[in-house]
Amino acid sequence: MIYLDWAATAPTAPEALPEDGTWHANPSSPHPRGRQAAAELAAARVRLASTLGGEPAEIVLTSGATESNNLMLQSVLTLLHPERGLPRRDTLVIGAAEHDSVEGPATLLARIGFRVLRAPVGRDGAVDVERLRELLDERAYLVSVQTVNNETGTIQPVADAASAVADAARRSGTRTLFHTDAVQALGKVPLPFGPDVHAASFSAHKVGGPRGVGALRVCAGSPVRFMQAGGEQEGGRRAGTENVAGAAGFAAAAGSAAAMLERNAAAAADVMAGLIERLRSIPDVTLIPADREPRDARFSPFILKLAVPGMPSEVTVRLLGDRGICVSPGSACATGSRKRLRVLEAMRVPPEQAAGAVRVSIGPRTTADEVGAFASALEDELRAVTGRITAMPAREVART
Amino acid sequence: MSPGTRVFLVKYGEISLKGANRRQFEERLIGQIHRQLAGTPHRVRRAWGRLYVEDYTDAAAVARALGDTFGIVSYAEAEMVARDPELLDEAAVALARRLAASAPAPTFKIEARRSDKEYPDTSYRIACRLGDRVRAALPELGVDVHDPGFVLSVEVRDRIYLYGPPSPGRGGLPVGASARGLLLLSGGIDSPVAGYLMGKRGMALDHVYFHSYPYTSDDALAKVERLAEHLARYVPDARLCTISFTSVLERIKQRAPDRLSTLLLRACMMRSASLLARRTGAVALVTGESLGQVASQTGEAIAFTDSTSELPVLRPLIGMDKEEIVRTARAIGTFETSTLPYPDCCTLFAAKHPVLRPKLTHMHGALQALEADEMIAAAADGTAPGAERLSPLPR
Repeated sequence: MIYLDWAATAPTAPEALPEDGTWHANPSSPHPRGRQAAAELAAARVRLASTLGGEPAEIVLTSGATESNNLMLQSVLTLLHPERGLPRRDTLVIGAAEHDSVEGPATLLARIGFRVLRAPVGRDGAVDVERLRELLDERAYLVSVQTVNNETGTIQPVADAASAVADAARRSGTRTLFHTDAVQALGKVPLPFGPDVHAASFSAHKVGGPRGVGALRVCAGSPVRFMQAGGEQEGGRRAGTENVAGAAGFAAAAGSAAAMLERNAAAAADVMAGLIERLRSIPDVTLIPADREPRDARFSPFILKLAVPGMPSEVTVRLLGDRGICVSPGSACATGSRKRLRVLEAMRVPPEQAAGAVRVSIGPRTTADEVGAFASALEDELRAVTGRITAMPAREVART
Repeated sequence: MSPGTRVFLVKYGEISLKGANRRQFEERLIGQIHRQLAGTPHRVRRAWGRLYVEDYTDAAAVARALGDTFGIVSYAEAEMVARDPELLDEAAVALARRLAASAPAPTFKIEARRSDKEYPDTSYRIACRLGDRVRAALPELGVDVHDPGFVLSVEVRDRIYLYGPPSPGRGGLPVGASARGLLLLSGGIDSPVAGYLMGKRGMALDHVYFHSYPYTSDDALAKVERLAEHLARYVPDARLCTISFTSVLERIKQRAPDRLSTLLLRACMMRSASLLARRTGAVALVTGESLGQVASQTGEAIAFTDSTSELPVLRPLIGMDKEEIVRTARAIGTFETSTLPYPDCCTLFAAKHPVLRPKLTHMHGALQALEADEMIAAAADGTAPGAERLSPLPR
């Protein structure tokens, strides 16, 4: 089995597997076991803070990045006024190529009446900072732009976008928060967090940690309140009994991924460069975007989007799956599944390419041989299918 | 209420009219009820043009089973009382009290029937007597023989049966009364409804699904399996035959003009299903086609696909609007599965501009040009490439 779907879930790292510990007690309990669990949790938080950048108190543990993103976007609801209704700062600006866990809550908030604006992206999937700047006014409450796109690997200009937001906020005398979904960046590309980035979302299982754990890093002093009430956990920002074992596994996996970042990224860059060179030699395959270079600083070396125009993504994924190769469809074969094409539409990828898009995502243990085997299998399968379905010329068929 | 004092009375309408076949129809209905209740204790007795389901332990299961069995006009759970007027009075008052609690109006009517003329009272006198007793015990209730809040029925036979408003059955004929068909089950909304309606007319069914892996997913197959399981509620004992049609699909894409591909695919399915029907013992094919619904269901298109089947093609939805079909699909519980997002066709093979008014001779020429007869036979035989991934077809 060749696993090339690391961006969906990375295989669990050995260091992230829970030992038989004291984690079964509730860290809020005052008895010795509870205090021990609280200590384990505190240790995990310290370790996470040093990995994610920031103070332990700035780390809000969640059930994953989807929750982190929802928590962040829905915080605008705390500004609703019982009589006046919508707040003066009623605007969320998000990137046009965000993950569903940002796009979804934004759509929900728009339905309630908040103003949601989408910053357009270029053909490479990167947010256009100048266009983003034009969208900012004194009504802006939050801007959310991902660090790395989960479908194409595009590295977003987060630092520039955050400083553009800070400039605009200063000029209009308001406080606009800047949030980034950093899920595909953690352990893979450097986290670009300066003082203008107020919050960031992370997920454990993308870096070999356990599923069901994530974090929202909220910088101290950020004027933000959250919607999950009912307990004093996580500094009152995210009520609910803490997942101590998950936090420990997350801290361990994230810690080692971050420590290995340079080495892993360099190795991934080599593997990816080889793959891109190889794919360029297959006539039926295009890259998304088409001008992606084998070593391209605009993209994470861990994610590649390619397309087989005319071959529905699902078919390609099944053909490869039968040969023991796991990749992810970029879209569904079905009509009515335009949702999955949203990001590629924002990048103005032609519909025929988008319908045939496939994502390959690698991890630190992926080898050149594995991606080579993938490319060969793809080439073989495409040649075989094309041979079976390409119209045979010269056969006289009755006209109707 | 101790067990054994309650019984389900089952009324069947249409089949009691069928003269010499009546006995056979009754046997089939009894057989269907047994099948529905397989695994739960019960007994079915036939007497006086009724069926009695007795000695059960799970009344809800019996009610569900009777509600799903074709051939039943109505059913009601009745209380059995010994032929003692005092006991009857007491039971009638107790039942009236229960029925009044959920009746739309505080009025009632007693309907009495005496099959056993040995019983001392006439039907009329039984009704008067019980009416008086109920009113005496429950003075808030009035009698209304035209539009009563509830009807309390009494039947005097070997014992006395007392029951409230019966539940409507699904009507139709018991499955198996009208030979066996082969349903082309696609995973869409229409074909399960077509199977349901043929089952309602007493047709036993097997189902055939044309799987085109890798162009269609195994999720699509799983969805069809779920639909078949669901249909088995009403049409039990149906087998699902899955035919690997990938090579036929590829041949069409290779050799046929794009605009004819959908119709040719349907023609190949008809042929393959006709061949399979020889083994399943079907006398007809059943499809979910509705006139004019899509390009392959125009009058001309149907005339062509019809001409490619060896067997008669029954199309119970032919005159129904989509809304009517959807309403039925919802009512029989297949709609939600049918609308799961696993398509049974692939965009790769979808014609952009399908032909609407095909000419028979031209279509047959195009069908001939596919040179697909062997492939179609292999598909129907379960020997086509890809068939090894599927459950074996019935031999």
